[in-house]
Amino acid sequence: MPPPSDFAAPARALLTSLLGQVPYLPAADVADFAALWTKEVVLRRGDFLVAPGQTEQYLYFIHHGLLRIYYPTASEEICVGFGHANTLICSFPSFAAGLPSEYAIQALRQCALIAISRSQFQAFLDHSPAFARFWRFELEKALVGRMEHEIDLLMPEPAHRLARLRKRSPHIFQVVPKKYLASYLRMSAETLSRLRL
Amino acid sequence: MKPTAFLTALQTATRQLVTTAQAEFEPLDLTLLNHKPAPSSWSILECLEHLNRYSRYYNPLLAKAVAQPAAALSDKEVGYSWMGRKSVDMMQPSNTKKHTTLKHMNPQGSRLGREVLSEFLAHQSQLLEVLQQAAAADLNRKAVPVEFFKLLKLRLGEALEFVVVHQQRHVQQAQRVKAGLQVQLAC
Repeated sequence: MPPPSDFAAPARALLTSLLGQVPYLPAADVADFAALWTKEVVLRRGDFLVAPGQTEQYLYFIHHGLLRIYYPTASEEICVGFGHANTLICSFPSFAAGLPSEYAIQALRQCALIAISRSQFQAFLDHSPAFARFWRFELEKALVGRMEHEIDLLMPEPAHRLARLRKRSPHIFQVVPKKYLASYLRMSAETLSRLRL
Repeated sequence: MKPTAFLTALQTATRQLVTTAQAEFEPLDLTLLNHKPAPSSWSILECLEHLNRYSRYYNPLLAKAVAQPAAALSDKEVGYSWMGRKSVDMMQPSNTKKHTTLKHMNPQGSRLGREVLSEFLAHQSQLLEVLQQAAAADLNRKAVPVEFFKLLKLRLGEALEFVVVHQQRHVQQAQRVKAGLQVQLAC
């Protein structure tokens, strides 16, 4: 079933409601912020949000759908992260530093996203201390998450890697197909199936 | 379980549902209450509306059943019929087996407002009154017709337990939906 073509307004409304739950963000700032998310993207399964080599300076908000972030190599596509509904997603080195993306971000299902440009985003953070604080907290959480995944991959035992993910993000097993979780945990799909029994 | 302990446990569980609804769901705005995590998954209001539909059927019947006091006061253990045992086990939140919801009990696609929450809370007040009155009733009496098969009657005790456990199941589902209602950054 194709997503409704008018998802952008509901997506901005959802973003507004979600940010409205953050106690220190003033409602007026939230409204102004949401209004800047004017870019709309609809992806079919398999489409790329960001292709390798592409410089992409938009920050996306996923209204619905599922995407994987992967690093392409000659022999495999290594999953490093996933985005589902209510997630903000970008190829970080590209978004932050303007570098061509080494990662690919690909839709695993039909997706609908809205986006804000980096320049508008930065300008908004410069003028709203509350949002600058919000972004600081989000970056801290993202960095902690990245380090936790780094430690996952330092574990020699696949069972330990799986246990860490289960503890950190139990819901992910209901959302992301097994083969991508196996790639994320650097094990074969067979090993993952065996460990989950 | 003895009737007193049985009913006390159900009252505690019901009060907990009220607290959860008031503390966790009431403060959310309507957009979030109606947010569906996936096209086929229920929003918080859909979870509560589903429970409201069951309450609309069962609460009046339970009230009627407890209005008839026990012929003789007894401390006999609360017993289960086969159907009652199965229904309660099926509804335990720890039982992860999914079931297709009966069409008329499925709120999918309906327009839902905050009145769903108020109705839910009203049903809990009624249920607490019923549980109070049930202390004088015979919990083993076959008194409550099953919603989808009215020729079959559940015992009063197991019917009360079914209603509470079913509500716990879906309130926990709604709490999981709520946990997903936050922005996060994936990069």
